[in-house]
Amino acid sequence: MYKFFKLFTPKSYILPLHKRSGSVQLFILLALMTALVVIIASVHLSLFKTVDRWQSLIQYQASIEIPALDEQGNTRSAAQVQQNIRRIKDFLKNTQASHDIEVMDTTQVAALLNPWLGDDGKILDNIDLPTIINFKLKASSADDVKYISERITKIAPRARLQTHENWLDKFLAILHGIHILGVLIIIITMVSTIFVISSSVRARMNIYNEDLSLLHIMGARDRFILKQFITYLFSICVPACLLGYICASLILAAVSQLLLGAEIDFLPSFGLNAHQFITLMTVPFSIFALTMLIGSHTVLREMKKMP
Amino acid sequence: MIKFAHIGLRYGIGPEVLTDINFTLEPGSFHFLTGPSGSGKTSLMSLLYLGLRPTRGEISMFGNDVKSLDRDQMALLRQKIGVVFQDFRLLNNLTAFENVALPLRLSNKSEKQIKSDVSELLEWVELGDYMHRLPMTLSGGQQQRIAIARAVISKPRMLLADEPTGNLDDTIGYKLMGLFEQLNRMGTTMVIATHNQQMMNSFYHKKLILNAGQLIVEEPRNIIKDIAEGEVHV
Repeated sequence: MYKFFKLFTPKSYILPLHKRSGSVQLFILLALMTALVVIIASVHLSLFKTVDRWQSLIQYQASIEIPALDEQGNTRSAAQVQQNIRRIKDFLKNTQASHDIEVMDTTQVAALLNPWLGDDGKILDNIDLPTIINFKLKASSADDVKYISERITKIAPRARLQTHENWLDKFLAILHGIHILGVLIIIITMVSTIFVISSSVRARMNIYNEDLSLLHIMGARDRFILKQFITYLFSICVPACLLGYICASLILAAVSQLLLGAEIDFLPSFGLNAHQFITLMTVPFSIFALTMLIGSHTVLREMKKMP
Repeated sequence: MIKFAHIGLRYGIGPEVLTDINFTLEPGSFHFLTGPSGSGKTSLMSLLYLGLRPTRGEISMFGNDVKSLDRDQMALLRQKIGVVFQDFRLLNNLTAFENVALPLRLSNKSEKQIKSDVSELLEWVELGDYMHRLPMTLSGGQQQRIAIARAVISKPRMLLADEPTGNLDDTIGYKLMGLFEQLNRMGTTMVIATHNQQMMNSFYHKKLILNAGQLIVEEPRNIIKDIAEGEVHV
Protein backbone atom coordinates (compact mmCIF):
# COMPACT_ATOMS: atom_id res chain seq x y z
CA MET A 1 0.00 0.00 0.00
CA TYR A 2 2.77 2.40 1.02
CA LYS A 3 4.74 1.69 -2.18
CA PHE A 4 1.73 2.83 -4.20
CA PHE A 5 1.45 6.07 -2.27
CA LYS A 6 5.23 6.58 -2.24
CA LEU A 7 4.85 7.28 -5.97
CA PHE A 8 2.83 10.34 -5.08
CA THR A 9 4.65 11.44 -1.94
CA PRO A 10 7.03 14.38 -2.13
CA LYS A 11 10.80 13.94 -1.78
CA SER A 12 10.53 15.80 1.50
CA TYR A 13 8.84 12.71 3.01
CA ILE A 14 11.96 11.37 4.69
CA LEU A 15 10.91 9.62 7.88
CA PRO A 16 9.93 5.95 7.44
CA LEU A 17 6.84 6.36 9.61
CA HIS A 18 5.02 3.60 7.72
CA LYS A 19 7.69 0.97 8.42
CA ARG A 20 7.07 0.52 12.15
CA SER A 21 4.41 -1.89 13.37
CA GLY A 22 1.02 -0.42 14.05
CA SER A 23 0.35 1.00 10.59
CA VAL A 24 -1.70 -2.03 9.53
CA GLN A 25 -3.64 -1.93 12.81
CA LEU A 26 -4.30 1.79 12.32
CA PHE A 27 -5.45 1.10 8.76
CA ILE A 28 -7.85 -1.66 9.90
CA LEU A 29 -9.15 0.43 12.79
CA LEU A 30 -9.90 3.41 10.53
CA ALA A 31 -11.59 1.15 7.97
CA LEU A 32 -13.73 -0.47 10.71
CA MET A 33 -14.69 2.89 12.19
CA THR A 34 -15.68 4.21 8.78
CA ALA A 35 -17.74 1.08 8.09
CA LEU A 36 -19.40 1.28 11.51
CA VAL A 37 -20.36 4.94 11.12
CA VAL A 38 -21.60 4.39 7.55
CA ILE A 39 -23.78 1.46 8.67
CA ILE A 40 -25.18 3.38 11.66
CA ALA A 41 -25.80 6.48 9.54
CA SER A 42 -27.50 4.34 6.92
CA VAL A 43 -29.73 2.65 9.51
CA HIS A 44 -30.58 6.10 10.78
CA LEU A 45 -31.58 7.35 7.36
CA SER A 46 -33.69 4.23 6.85
CA LEU A 47 -35.37 4.76 10.21
CA PHE A 48 -36.21 8.33 9.28
CA LYS A 49 -37.71 7.04 6.05
CA THR A 50 -39.74 4.46 7.99
CA VAL A 51 -40.96 7.05 10.46
CA ASP A 52 -42.08 9.26 7.58
CA ARG A 53 -43.80 6.32 5.91
CA TRP A 54 -45.57 5.22 9.05
CA GLN A 55 -46.56 8.75 9.92
CA SER A 56 -48.00 9.38 6.49
CA LEU A 57 -49.79 6.03 6.54
CA ILE A 58 -51.12 6.07 10.06
CA GLN A 59 -51.48 9.69 11.04
CA TYR A 60 -55.16 10.75 10.88
CA GLN A 61 -56.04 7.17 9.99
CA ALA A 62 -58.87 5.83 12.15
CA SER A 63 -60.77 2.54 12.32
CA ILE A 64 -64.06 1.60 13.84
CA GLU A 65 -64.28 -1.99 14.94
CA ILE A 66 -67.71 -3.46 15.54
CA PRO A 67 -67.36 -6.80 17.30
CA ALA A 68 -69.35 -9.70 15.84
CA LEU A 69 -71.01 -10.24 19.21
CA ASP A 70 -73.42 -7.74 20.68
CA GLU A 71 -73.47 -6.67 24.31
CA GLN A 72 -75.46 -9.75 25.29
CA GLY A 73 -72.89 -12.01 23.68
CA ASN A 74 -75.13 -12.95 20.74
CA THR A 75 -73.84 -12.96 17.19
CA ARG A 76 -75.11 -9.96 15.32
CA SER A 77 -77.28 -10.90 12.36
CA ALA A 78 -76.23 -9.95 8.82
CA ALA A 79 -79.10 -7.43 8.69
CA GLN A 80 -77.96 -5.93 11.99
CA VAL A 81 -74.39 -5.68 10.73
CA GLN A 82 -75.50 -4.02 7.49
CA GLN A 83 -77.68 -1.61 9.40
CA ASN A 84 -74.80 -0.69 11.73
CA ILE A 85 -72.50 -0.14 8.76
CA ARG A 86 -75.01 2.02 6.96
CA ARG A 87 -75.79 4.15 10.05
CA ILE A 88 -72.12 4.63 10.93
CA LYS A 89 -71.23 5.51 7.32
CA ASP A 90 -74.09 8.02 7.26
CA PHE A 91 -72.92 9.51 10.51
CA LEU A 92 -69.31 9.75 9.30
CA LYS A 93 -70.35 11.30 5.99
CA ASN A 94 -72.30 13.94 7.84
CA THR A 95 -69.36 14.68 10.10
CA GLN A 96 -67.01 17.38 8.79
CA ALA A 97 -64.11 15.74 10.64
CA SER A 98 -63.81 12.59 8.50
CA HIS A 99 -63.44 11.46 4.90
CA ASP A 100 -62.33 8.46 2.78
CA ILE A 101 -64.69 6.05 4.48
CA GLU A 102 -64.11 2.45 3.51
CA VAL A 103 -65.63 -0.75 4.89
CA MET A 104 -63.28 -3.72 4.90
CA ASP A 105 -64.76 -6.90 3.49
CA THR A 106 -64.50 -10.28 5.20
CA THR A 107 -61.48 -11.32 3.14
CA GLN A 108 -59.56 -8.18 4.11
CA VAL A 109 -60.43 -8.63 7.78
CA ALA A 110 -59.41 -12.30 7.59
CA ALA A 111 -56.10 -11.23 6.02
CA LEU A 112 -55.37 -9.14 9.13
CA LEU A 113 -55.58 -12.33 11.20
CA ASN A 114 -53.39 -14.19 8.78
CA PRO A 115 -50.11 -13.70 10.73
CA TRP A 116 -51.71 -15.40 13.79
CA LEU A 117 -54.01 -18.00 12.23
CA GLY A 118 -52.35 -18.76 8.92
CA ASP A 119 -54.21 -19.55 5.68
CA ASP A 120 -56.39 -22.26 7.17
CA GLY A 121 -59.85 -21.31 5.94
CA LYS A 122 -61.54 -23.81 8.29
CA ILE A 123 -60.41 -21.93 11.35
CA LEU A 124 -61.53 -18.61 9.91
CA ASP A 125 -64.92 -20.12 9.01
CA ASN A 126 -65.50 -20.83 12.70
CA ILE A 127 -64.60 -17.33 13.88
CA ASP A 128 -67.08 -14.49 13.98
CA LEU A 129 -65.08 -11.75 12.32
CA PRO A 130 -65.64 -8.14 13.41
CA THR A 131 -66.66 -5.42 11.04
CA ILE A 132 -64.03 -2.79 10.39
CA ILE A 133 -64.66 0.62 8.90
CA ASN A 134 -61.58 2.66 7.98
CA PHE A 135 -61.70 6.40 7.49
CA LYS A 136 -59.45 9.42 7.76
CA LEU A 137 -59.80 12.23 10.25
CA LYS A 138 -59.33 15.63 8.72
CA ALA A 139 -57.34 16.65 11.82
CA SER A 140 -56.45 14.74 14.91
CA SER A 141 -58.56 16.75 17.34
CA ALA A 142 -59.25 15.12 20.69
CA ASP A 143 -62.77 16.62 20.72
CA ASP A 144 -63.59 15.10 17.32
CA VAL A 145 -62.28 11.70 18.40
CA LYS A 146 -64.29 11.81 21.62
CA TYR A 147 -67.46 12.91 19.78
CA ILE A 148 -67.14 10.21 17.12
CA SER A 149 -66.36 7.60 19.75
CA GLU A 150 -69.50 8.45 21.77
CA ARG A 151 -71.75 8.54 18.72
CA ILE A 152 -70.66 5.19 17.23
CA THR A 153 -71.15 3.46 20.61
CA LYS A 154 -74.72 4.72 20.57
CA ILE A 155 -75.23 3.42 17.03
CA ALA A 156 -73.55 0.07 17.59
CA PRO A 157 -72.92 -0.85 21.23
CA ARG A 158 -69.39 -2.18 21.91
CA ALA A 159 -68.08 -0.49 18.72
CA ARG A 160 -64.56 0.91 19.29
CA LEU A 161 -62.77 3.79 17.64
CA GLN A 162 -59.06 3.22 17.10
CA THR A 163 -57.00 6.24 15.95
CA HIS A 164 -53.59 4.47 16.20
CA GLU A 165 -52.20 7.58 17.92
CA ASN A 166 -51.07 5.74 21.07
CA TRP A 167 -49.48 3.00 19.03
CA LEU A 168 -47.75 5.48 16.73
CA ASP A 169 -46.49 7.50 19.71
CA LYS A 170 -44.96 4.37 21.26
CA PHE A 171 -43.43 3.39 17.94
CA LEU A 172 -41.97 6.87 17.51
CA ALA A 173 -40.61 6.78 21.09
CA ILE A 174 -38.81 3.52 20.31
CA LEU A 175 -37.39 4.96 17.09
CA HIS A 176 -36.36 8.08 18.98
CA GLY A 177 -34.51 5.86 21.47
CA ILE A 178 -32.76 4.00 18.64
CA HIS A 179 -31.91 7.37 17.08
CA ILE A 180 -30.28 8.62 20.31
CA LEU A 181 -28.41 5.30 20.66
CA GLY A 182 -27.12 5.62 17.08
CA VAL A 183 -25.97 9.19 17.63
CA LEU A 184 -24.19 8.08 20.82
CA ILE A 185 -22.43 5.25 18.96
CA ILE A 186 -21.33 7.71 16.24
CA ILE A 187 -20.05 10.15 18.89
CA ILE A 188 -18.21 7.32 20.71
CA THR A 189 -16.70 6.16 17.40
CA MET A 190 -15.55 9.69 16.55
CA VAL A 191 -14.08 10.19 20.03
CA SER A 192 -12.33 6.80 19.70
CA THR A 193 -10.97 7.93 16.33
CA ILE A 194 -9.60 11.07 17.98
CA PHE A 195 -7.86 9.02 20.69
CA VAL A 196 -6.56 6.40 18.25
CA ILE A 197 -5.08 9.00 15.89
CA SER A 198 -3.69 11.13 18.68
CA SER A 199 -2.02 8.19 20.48
CA SER A 200 -0.78 6.68 17.21
CA VAL A 201 0.86 9.97 16.19
CA ARG A 202 2.31 10.45 19.67
CA ALA A 203 3.67 6.88 19.67
CA ARG A 204 5.33 7.48 16.32
CA MET A 205 6.79 10.74 17.53
CA ASN A 206 8.30 8.84 20.47
CA ILE A 207 9.70 6.11 18.22
CA TYR A 208 11.26 8.70 15.91
CA ASN A 209 12.16 11.13 18.65
CA GLU A 210 15.87 11.07 17.79
CA ASP A 211 15.26 11.69 14.11
CA LEU A 212 12.75 14.42 14.88
CA SER A 213 15.12 16.19 17.27
CA LEU A 214 17.88 15.90 14.64
CA LEU A 215 15.64 17.53 12.02
CA HIS A 216 14.69 20.16 14.56
CA ILE A 217 18.36 20.91 15.31
CA MET A 218 19.09 21.09 11.58
CA GLY A 219 16.49 23.82 11.26
CA ALA A 220 13.36 21.95 10.17
CA ARG A 221 10.31 24.09 10.68
CA ASP A 222 7.34 22.58 12.52
CA ARG A 223 5.38 22.43 9.28
CA PHE A 224 8.12 20.33 7.67
CA ILE A 225 7.74 17.77 10.49
CA LEU A 226 3.97 18.09 10.21
CA LYS A 227 4.22 17.28 6.49
CA GLN A 228 5.90 13.97 7.35
CA PHE A 229 2.98 12.90 9.50
CA ILE A 230 0.32 14.29 7.19
CA THR A 231 1.81 12.30 4.30
CA TYR A 232 1.87 9.18 6.47
CA LEU A 233 -1.70 9.66 7.76
CA PHE A 234 -2.92 10.44 4.25
CA SER A 235 -1.42 7.21 2.90
CA ILE A 236 -3.17 5.24 5.66
CA CYS A 237 -6.43 7.13 5.95
CA VAL A 238 -7.54 7.49 2.33
CA PRO A 239 -7.50 3.77 1.45
CA ALA A 240 -8.82 2.85 4.93
CA CYS A 241 -11.82 5.18 4.64
CA LEU A 242 -12.51 4.01 1.09
CA LEU A 243 -12.30 0.36 2.09
CA GLY A 244 -14.54 0.96 5.12
CA TYR A 245 -17.09 2.73 2.92
CA ILE A 246 -17.07 0.01 0.27
CA CYS A 247 -17.39 -2.77 2.88
CA ALA A 248 -20.27 -0.97 4.61
CA SER A 249 -22.01 -0.43 1.26
CA LEU A 250 -21.69 -4.13 0.43
CA ILE A 251 -23.06 -5.13 3.85
CA LEU A 252 -26.00 -2.73 3.47
CA ALA A 253 -26.71 -3.97 -0.06
CA ALA A 254 -26.72 -7.57 1.22
CA VAL A 255 -29.04 -6.73 4.14
CA SER A 256 -31.29 -4.79 1.79
CA GLN A 257 -31.53 -7.79 -0.53
CA LEU A 258 -32.35 -10.06 2.42
CA LEU A 259 -35.13 -7.75 3.58
CA LEU A 260 -36.52 -7.49 0.06
CA GLY A 261 -36.55 -11.29 -0.15
CA ALA A 262 -38.40 -11.51 3.15
CA GLU A 263 -41.13 -9.16 1.82
CA ILE A 264 -41.71 -7.59 5.20
CA ASP A 265 -43.46 -4.34 4.44
CA PHE A 266 -43.09 -2.72 7.83
CA LEU A 267 -39.31 -3.15 8.06
CA PRO A 268 -37.21 -0.22 6.90
CA SER A 269 -35.89 -0.28 3.37
CA PHE A 270 -32.17 0.33 2.86
CA GLY A 271 -32.70 1.79 -0.60
CA LEU A 272 -31.29 5.31 -0.47
CA ASN A 273 -32.16 8.34 -2.51
CA ALA A 274 -29.54 10.70 -3.97
CA HIS A 275 -29.67 13.07 -1.02
CA GLN A 276 -29.18 10.26 1.48
CA PHE A 277 -26.41 8.76 -0.63
CA ILE A 278 -24.56 12.10 -0.58
CA THR A 279 -25.10 12.28 3.19
CA LEU A 280 -23.47 8.85 3.58
CA MET A 281 -20.58 9.89 1.32
CA THR A 282 -19.72 12.59 3.86
CA VAL A 283 -18.88 9.90 6.47
CA PRO A 284 -15.49 8.79 5.03
CA PHE A 285 -14.68 12.43 4.24
CA SER A 286 -15.51 13.42 7.82
CA ILE A 287 -13.32 10.64 9.26
CA PHE A 288 -10.53 11.64 6.86
CA ALA A 289 -10.84 15.30 7.86
CA LEU A 290 -10.98 14.39 11.55
CA THR A 291 -7.86 12.22 11.20
CA MET A 292 -5.90 14.98 9.48
CA LEU A 293 -7.09 17.60 11.96
CA ILE A 294 -6.26 15.54 15.06
CA GLY A 295 -2.96 14.35 13.52
CA SER A 296 -1.88 17.93 12.76
CA HIS A 297 -2.94 19.19 16.16
CA THR A 298 -1.04 16.40 17.97
CA VAL A 299 2.16 16.89 15.93
CA LEU A 300 2.20 20.67 16.43
CA ARG A 301 1.43 20.32 20.14
CA GLU A 302 4.24 17.78 20.62
CA MET A 303 6.68 19.84 18.53
CA LYS A 304 6.11 22.83 20.81
CA LYS A 305 7.76 20.79 23.58
CA MET A 306 11.02 21.14 21.62
CA PRO A 307 12.83 24.45 22.23
CA MET B 1 28.98 37.14 16.31
CA ILE B 2 27.78 34.78 19.03
CA LYS B 3 27.57 36.03 22.57
CA PHE B 4 26.70 34.11 25.71
CA ALA B 5 26.03 36.39 28.69
CA HIS B 6 25.54 35.04 32.23
CA ILE B 7 24.17 31.75 30.94
CA GLY B 8 22.97 29.21 33.47
CA LEU B 9 21.45 25.84 32.68
CA ARG B 10 19.76 23.29 34.87
CA TYR B 11 17.74 20.19 33.97
CA GLY B 12 14.41 20.14 35.78
CA ILE B 13 14.89 20.89 39.45
CA GLY B 14 18.47 19.58 39.51
CA PRO B 15 21.58 21.69 40.21
CA GLU B 16 22.98 24.04 37.56
CA VAL B 17 25.17 22.14 35.09
CA LEU B 18 26.40 25.39 33.59
CA THR B 19 26.95 28.41 35.80
CA ASP B 20 27.36 31.99 34.66
CA ILE B 21 28.89 31.23 31.26
CA ASN B 22 30.22 34.26 29.42
CA PHE B 23 32.03 34.22 26.10
CA THR B 24 32.00 35.68 22.62
CA LEU B 25 32.73 33.90 19.35
CA GLU B 26 33.88 36.35 16.71
CA PRO B 27 32.89 35.59 13.09
CA GLY B 28 35.48 33.34 11.48
CA SER B 29 37.04 32.36 14.80
CA PHE B 30 38.17 28.86 15.75
CA HIS B 31 37.68 27.50 19.27
CA PHE B 32 38.29 24.20 20.95
CA LEU B 33 35.82 23.28 23.66
CA THR B 34 37.35 21.00 26.21
CA GLY B 35 37.00 19.82 29.78
CA PRO B 36 36.70 16.62 31.78
CA SER B 37 33.74 14.28 31.39
CA GLY B 38 30.62 15.67 33.04
CA SER B 39 31.91 19.23 32.91
CA GLY B 40 28.98 20.32 30.71
CA LYS B 41 30.51 20.21 27.20
CA THR B 42 27.51 18.48 25.64
CA SER B 43 25.13 20.90 27.37
CA LEU B 44 27.09 23.89 26.12
CA MET B 45 27.14 22.43 22.60
CA SER B 46 23.35 21.95 22.83
CA LEU B 47 22.97 25.59 23.78
CA LEU B 48 25.19 26.57 20.84
CA TYR B 49 23.10 24.67 18.30
CA LEU B 50 19.91 25.91 19.99
CA GLY B 51 18.85 22.44 21.02
CA LEU B 52 18.26 23.71 24.55
CA ARG B 53 17.13 27.00 26.03
CA PRO B 54 19.17 28.36 28.95
CA THR B 55 17.42 28.67 32.30
CA ARG B 56 18.98 32.12 32.72
CA GLY B 57 21.14 34.56 30.83
CA GLU B 58 21.03 35.78 27.26
CA ILE B 59 22.24 34.33 23.98
CA SER B 60 22.81 36.56 21.02
CA MET B 61 23.47 34.84 17.71
CA PHE B 62 24.26 36.49 14.37
CA GLY B 63 22.70 39.71 15.61
CA ASN B 64 19.52 38.11 17.00
CA ASP B 65 18.48 37.92 20.62
CA VAL B 66 17.47 34.25 20.73
CA LYS B 67 14.80 34.85 23.38
CA SER B 68 12.87 37.21 21.14
CA LEU B 69 12.63 34.85 18.15
CA ASP B 70 9.53 32.87 17.23
CA ARG B 71 9.68 29.19 16.22
CA ASP B 72 10.10 29.85 12.49
CA GLN B 73 12.85 32.40 13.08
CA MET B 74 14.60 29.92 15.41
CA ALA B 75 14.44 27.30 12.66
CA LEU B 76 16.01 29.73 10.19
CA LEU B 77 18.75 30.50 12.73
CA ARG B 78 19.45 26.78 13.22
CA GLN B 79 19.87 26.43 9.45
CA LYS B 80 22.92 28.70 9.79
CA ILE B 81 24.57 26.23 12.16
CA GLY B 82 26.15 22.96 11.04
CA VAL B 83 26.59 20.21 13.60
CA VAL B 84 28.77 17.10 13.43
CA PHE B 85 27.74 14.69 16.17
CA GLN B 86 30.11 12.23 17.75
CA ASP B 87 27.75 9.36 16.82
CA PHE B 88 27.07 10.99 13.38
CA ARG B 89 23.28 10.74 13.79
CA LEU B 90 22.63 9.86 10.15
CA LEU B 91 19.13 8.85 9.09
CA ASN B 92 19.59 5.16 8.39
CA ASN B 93 16.65 4.89 5.99
CA LEU B 94 18.13 7.52 3.69
CA THR B 95 21.04 7.09 1.29
CA ALA B 96 24.29 9.01 1.71
CA PHE B 97 23.03 11.43 -0.96
CA GLU B 98 19.67 11.99 0.78
CA ASN B 99 21.35 12.49 4.16
CA VAL B 100 23.64 15.17 2.78
CA ALA B 101 20.75 16.74 0.82
CA LEU B 102 18.65 17.14 3.95
CA PRO B 103 19.76 20.66 5.00
CA LEU B 104 19.16 21.88 1.44
CA ARG B 105 15.67 20.38 1.43
CA LEU B 106 14.95 22.10 4.74
CA SER B 107 15.88 25.43 3.19
CA ASN B 108 13.71 24.70 0.14
CA LYS B 109 16.51 24.59 -2.46
CA SER B 110 15.59 23.38 -5.93
CA GLU B 111 16.07 19.70 -6.83
CA LYS B 112 18.52 20.73 -9.55
CA GLN B 113 20.69 22.66 -7.13
CA ILE B 114 20.45 19.88 -4.53
CA LYS B 115 21.62 17.31 -7.08
CA SER B 116 24.61 19.34 -8.26
CA ASP B 117 25.73 20.58 -4.80
CA VAL B 118 25.40 17.21 -3.06
CA SER B 119 27.11 15.26 -5.86
CA GLU B 120 29.98 17.76 -5.92
CA LEU B 121 30.48 17.65 -2.15
CA LEU B 122 30.28 13.85 -1.98
CA GLU B 123 32.92 13.66 -4.71
CA TRP B 124 35.04 16.09 -2.69
CA VAL B 125 34.86 13.91 0.44
CA GLU B 126 35.65 10.91 -1.79
CA LEU B 127 32.23 9.29 -1.43
CA GLY B 128 31.05 9.82 -4.99
CA ASP B 129 30.84 6.09 -5.56
CA TYR B 130 28.86 5.54 -2.37
CA MET B 131 26.20 8.22 -2.69
CA HIS B 132 23.34 5.76 -3.19
CA ARG B 133 24.39 3.49 -0.34
CA LEU B 134 22.63 3.40 3.02
CA PRO B 135 24.80 4.53 5.97
CA MET B 136 24.61 1.07 7.60
CA THR B 137 26.55 -0.37 4.67
CA LEU B 138 29.41 2.12 5.02
CA SER B 139 32.43 2.16 7.35
CA GLY B 140 32.66 4.45 10.39
CA GLY B 141 35.04 6.80 8.56
CA GLN B 142 32.73 7.01 5.55
CA GLN B 143 29.74 7.68 7.81
CA GLN B 144 31.67 10.45 9.49
CA ARG B 145 32.47 12.07 6.14
CA ILE B 146 28.76 11.96 5.29
CA ALA B 147 28.01 13.61 8.64
CA ILE B 148 30.56 16.33 7.90
CA ALA B 149 29.29 16.80 4.35
CA ARG B 150 25.76 17.15 5.75
CA ALA B 151 26.96 19.76 8.25
CA VAL B 152 28.75 21.90 5.65
CA ILE B 153 26.52 21.48 2.57
CA SER B 154 24.47 24.58 3.30
CA LYS B 155 27.60 26.69 4.00
CA PRO B 156 26.77 27.33 7.67
CA ARG B 157 28.04 30.41 9.46
CA MET B 158 29.08 28.26 12.39
CA LEU B 159 30.16 24.64 12.50
CA LEU B 160 30.02 22.67 15.74
CA ALA B 161 31.74 19.31 15.95
CA ASP B 162 31.46 17.03 18.97
CA GLU B 163 34.54 14.83 19.40
CA PRO B 164 35.00 14.58 15.63
CA THR B 165 38.30 12.74 15.93
CA GLY B 166 37.23 10.50 18.80
CA ASN B 167 36.80 7.35 16.74
CA LEU B 168 39.55 8.00 14.23
CA ASP B 169 43.22 7.13 14.10
CA ASP B 170 45.68 10.05 14.25
CA THR B 171 46.33 10.29 10.51
CA ILE B 172 42.64 10.58 9.57
CA GLY B 173 42.04 12.77 12.64
CA TYR B 174 44.65 15.31 11.48
CA LYS B 175 43.30 15.14 7.93
CA LEU B 176 39.86 15.97 9.30
CA MET B 177 41.25 18.86 11.31
CA GLY B 178 42.85 20.07 8.11
CA LEU B 179 39.38 20.09 6.53
CA PHE B 180 38.01 22.12 9.46
CA GLU B 181 40.88 24.58 9.14
CA GLN B 182 40.07 24.94 5.46
CA LEU B 183 36.40 25.65 6.25
CA ASN B 184 37.46 28.14 8.90
CA ARG B 185 39.65 29.97 6.39
CA MET B 186 36.57 30.25 4.20
CA GLY B 187 34.90 32.21 7.03
CA THR B 188 33.03 29.57 9.02
CA THR B 189 33.13 30.01 12.80
CA MET B 190 34.33 26.72 14.27
CA VAL B 191 33.78 25.15 17.67
CA ILE B 192 35.35 21.72 18.13
CA ALA B 193 34.59 19.83 21.33
CA THR B 194 37.40 17.44 22.10
CA HIS B 195 39.33 15.67 24.83
CA ASN B 196 42.36 15.24 22.61
CA GLN B 197 45.03 17.42 24.22
CA GLN B 198 47.65 16.54 21.62
CA MET B 199 45.31 17.56 18.83
CA MET B 200 44.53 20.89 20.52
CA ASN B 201 48.21 21.57 21.11
CA SER B 202 48.91 21.04 17.42
CA PHE B 203 46.70 23.99 16.44
CA TYR B 204 46.91 27.58 17.55
CA HIS B 205 43.32 28.29 18.52
CA LYS B 206 41.51 29.59 21.58
CA LYS B 207 40.27 27.04 24.10
CA LEU B 208 36.98 27.16 25.95
CA ILE B 209 37.75 25.09 29.02
CA LEU B 210 34.80 23.86 31.04
CA ASN B 211 35.22 22.61 34.55
CA ALA B 212 32.31 21.73 36.83
CA GLY B 213 29.97 23.89 34.78
CA GLN B 214 32.23 26.96 34.76
CA LEU B 215 34.04 28.28 31.70
CA ILE B 216 37.51 29.67 31.25
CA VAL B 217 38.65 31.07 27.90
CA GLU B 218 42.30 30.28 27.22
CA GLU B 219 44.20 32.28 24.62
CA PRO B 220 46.16 30.31 22.00
CA ARG B 221 49.83 29.61 22.54
CA ASN B 222 52.28 31.99 20.90
CA ILE B 223 53.31 30.36 17.62
CA ILE B 224 56.30 32.72 17.20
CA LYS B 225 57.60 31.64 20.63
CA ASP B 226 56.97 27.96 19.84
CA ILE B 227 58.88 28.23 16.55
CA ALA B 228 61.72 29.96 18.34
CA GLU B 229 61.77 27.24 21.01
CA GLY B 230 61.70 24.54 18.39
CA GLU B 231 58.26 23.25 19.40
CA VAL B 232 56.97 23.61 15.85
CA HIS B 233 58.67 21.47 13.22
CA VAL B 234 58.34 23.19 9.87
